[in-house]
Amino acid sequence: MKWLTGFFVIAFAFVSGQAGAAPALEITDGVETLVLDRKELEALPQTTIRTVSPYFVGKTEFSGPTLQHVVEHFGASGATNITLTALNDYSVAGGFDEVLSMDAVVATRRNGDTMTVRQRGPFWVILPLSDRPDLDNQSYHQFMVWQLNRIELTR
Amino acid sequence: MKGGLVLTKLFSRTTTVFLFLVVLVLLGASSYTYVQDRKLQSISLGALRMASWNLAQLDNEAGDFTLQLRLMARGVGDPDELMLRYDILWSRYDYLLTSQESSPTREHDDNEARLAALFAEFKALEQPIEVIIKTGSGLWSPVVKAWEGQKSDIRRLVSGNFVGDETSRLMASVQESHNRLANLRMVTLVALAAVFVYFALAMMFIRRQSRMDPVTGLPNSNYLRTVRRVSTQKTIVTCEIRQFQLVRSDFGDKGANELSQAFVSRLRQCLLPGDELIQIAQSEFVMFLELRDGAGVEQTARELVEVTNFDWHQSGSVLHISAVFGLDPPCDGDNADWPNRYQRAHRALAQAHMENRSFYINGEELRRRIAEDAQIHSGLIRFFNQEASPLSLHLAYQPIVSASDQSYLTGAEVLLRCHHDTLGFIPPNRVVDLCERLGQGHALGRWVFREAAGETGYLYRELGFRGHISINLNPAMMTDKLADDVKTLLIDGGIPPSSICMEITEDNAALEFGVINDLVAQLHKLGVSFALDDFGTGHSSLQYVRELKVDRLKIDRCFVEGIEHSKDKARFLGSIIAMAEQADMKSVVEGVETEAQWNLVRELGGTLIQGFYLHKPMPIQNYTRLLFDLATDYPKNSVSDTDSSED
Repeated sequence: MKWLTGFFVIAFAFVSGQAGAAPALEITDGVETLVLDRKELEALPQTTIRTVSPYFVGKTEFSGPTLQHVVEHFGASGATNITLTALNDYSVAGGFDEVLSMDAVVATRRNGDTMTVRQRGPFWVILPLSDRPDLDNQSYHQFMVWQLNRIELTR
Repeated sequence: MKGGLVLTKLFSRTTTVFLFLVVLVLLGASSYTYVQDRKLQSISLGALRMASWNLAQLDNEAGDFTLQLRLMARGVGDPDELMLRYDILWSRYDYLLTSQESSPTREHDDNEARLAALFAEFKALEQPIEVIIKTGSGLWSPVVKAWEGQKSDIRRLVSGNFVGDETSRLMASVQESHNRLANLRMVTLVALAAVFVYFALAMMFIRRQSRMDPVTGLPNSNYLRTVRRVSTQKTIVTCEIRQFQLVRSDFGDKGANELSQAFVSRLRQCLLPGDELIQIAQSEFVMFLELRDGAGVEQTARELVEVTNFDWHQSGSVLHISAVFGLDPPCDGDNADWPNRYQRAHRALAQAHMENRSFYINGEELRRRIAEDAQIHSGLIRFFNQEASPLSLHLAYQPIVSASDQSYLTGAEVLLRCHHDTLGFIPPNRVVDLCERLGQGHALGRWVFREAAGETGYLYRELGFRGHISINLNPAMMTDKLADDVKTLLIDGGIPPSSICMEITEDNAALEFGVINDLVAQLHKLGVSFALDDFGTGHSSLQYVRELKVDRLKIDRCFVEGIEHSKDKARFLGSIIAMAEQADMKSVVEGVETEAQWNLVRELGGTLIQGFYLHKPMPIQNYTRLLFDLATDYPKNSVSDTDSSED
């Protein structure tokens, strides 16, 4: 069933990509690949966080599914590493459990609005820095990938 | 003193303020460099990495856009991909210009302005690109050209920032900071050294100041406290200006200081090289004197006394200044250490004070004297407390006769005799002085009164004797209690008031005349008479005669000495007697010791005579026996009225 859904999604993504729509998010474990657009991501359980960030003055509200939910939705099992890649080819890799333990959100909206590429959207990995001050340093900031394009799970 | 002047200048207000300013400037410079270096510190390595990273990303993303643009120009590109790269680059510019994280990149040099300019040029490309895509004209070359320009600007920005400029600039900044620190450290070190030297000098200055009398510039008591050793070959002299409190009360502190200075300049005349003069108070000095060639300690002492005996002229008045000295001569042996010697010099000074001498030299004599004084004193206390005592007091009576009739005995002077079991006979003056000094004066006076009344009361009560009894008053008796003492001890003891004569000396009359005259008046009311003893030996004798309301004048023996050999002296004595008569005073001539003297004095007439020639002082038994002698006549009850009518 999941398999089937995946297939359709890929097909749809391909079509919509051709149509010049907003970039989608590709999740892959090397065997299977799932492509999710904003609507699909927003269909997953949503989390809203207000947090400080290295980018904006004061607290900013971000919302979207948690990385955990996205990965669960993909159905990853046995992955040990995770690599996040952006449209500009920036990528960062980390241990699967380690990255998931950061309570990251794949934000689709900032202050309730969707984000364009120019606004570093459409998807932006946001860590809850205000709630988890332990994450507020350079080594964790590198996981806050904007223009997130691809999530790769490896064993 | 020259060093002192330099030090004084060094610690003048100007110098201190100047140094203070220098330290202030140093502090300011330190703070400035601190702030500068803080700025440098704020450029953290992380921020620097982030800045480099951001610029590298800008370069990459610009490269991606270039690639897409070229593909489009060749007609093989994808417009969506081009716009995606455009947007990504757009977001990079936005990020670099607005994000908090990228502020180090912006803040460095003129990066922000350059980025803003590039971003504006980049935004300007959007419209032409959209038009070309929409119309499909394929005329990319102006856009490509414009972009190539921007691209090389980006390259310059990136390479300038972190290849050449940024690193070297950072290194330069660090180097600058280092140099600044090194310089500052050098300056601080020099300043610290200067301040250290200054403080060391300040300590010296303060020590010096604290050990120097501000008025005379002599070493002071603080200096004396640091003295640990004085050569045993030196004489230690302590010295005090007499009656200094009077100077202070009359002329104030200013006058006292002036006298101090005048006195010091006189003391300095006696100093030889190697001598030391220390001022321990305004009127007290200590000297360490080298041995004088061919001059004994006593001669040195006399020199000191002479030099410091002077008239001090001050605001129209003249004051006679003198000083008291205590000396500890050079000594060897056990108690030759400084504290002991200093104490001994003080003891000599104290003894000189007490005995009213101008100096005392510590030695066997002084030691013995002090020991004796202590023995006598304790003996006196026991004696007055009627305990068994090695010391005993007695009274002796020296008859006084009429000049006109040597067998007519007008009375007697009561004299004090003192005997100590080990010391033997002790001069009465010494006993009186000791008693006065040690607070036994009143006890002594009362004892004399009681004893005199006890011994002679019988004569007055039983024999009707009306001759006078002259009793010397020691200073401690000259108080309001005198009238009471006379009443309870003498009059109640059986001596009629008209027979009592109180003798006061010029020395103890040195109290105020008013006070003495009050006492005299009180006793006159009782019928007691007064005599001025030892007339002619003290200062201002005539003034005493004029001011004091006394009834008799006892002319000192010095006016009798030699009258048998010199007519002038005899005439002089006569004139004193005449003067006493003029002043309504009976004169008593003391010290008549030879027949020639007796005859001469008798010729002068109108006087009473006391002296060895006729009667020596004698115990009461002999005195009584003399009165019982049929050849002796004396004032009796029946004639006492005429006798006392003289008063």
